[in-house]
Amino acid sequence: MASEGELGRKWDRCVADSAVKLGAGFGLGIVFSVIFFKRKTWPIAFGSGMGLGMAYSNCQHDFQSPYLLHGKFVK
Amino acid sequence: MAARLAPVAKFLIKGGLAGAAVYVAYDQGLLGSGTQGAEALKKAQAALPPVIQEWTSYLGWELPPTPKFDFSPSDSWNKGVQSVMSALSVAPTRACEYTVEGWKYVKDLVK
Repeated sequence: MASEGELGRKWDRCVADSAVKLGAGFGLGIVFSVIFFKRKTWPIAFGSGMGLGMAYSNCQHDFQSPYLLHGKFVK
Repeated sequence: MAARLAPVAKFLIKGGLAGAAVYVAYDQGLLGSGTQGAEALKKAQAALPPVIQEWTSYLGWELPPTPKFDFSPSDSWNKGVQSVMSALSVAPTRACEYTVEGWKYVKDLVK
């Protein structure tokens, strides 16, 4: 598996995940706006922003994953 | 008694709906890792055309077949970069050719 192929796959996953998280955050923002916040706009923006932030965090973790070491605490 | 219970019941129903929405989003893998999100998108892409087809046939509309959205952004980007670079590499040669042709055209006009 070529490393540039793996990098391309990570970018594809990142873009797909960003689209999904943005959509989910937008949708949940609409739900909360309608149910709790009297159809104001800010929950929608907040939800979309949260979705984008979660996607950014996932992408960052995915790109950094070869360099992250998972240790185990041995007593 | 009923007047006091009504707002509580309303809040509980609203909370239940919001909680159900969040749970469904979590259960479908929309709030998980990047791999889960990509899988959820693939499932949605596979499930959408039959649903559209079913609804259009139910409503009696004739729609063209839905285009496939299955493409790789990284592949498209790489192809774009390759096209741009190959165009840039032949640009000086093409510029010379077009200049010669243009000069010849102007000379023929002036004759």
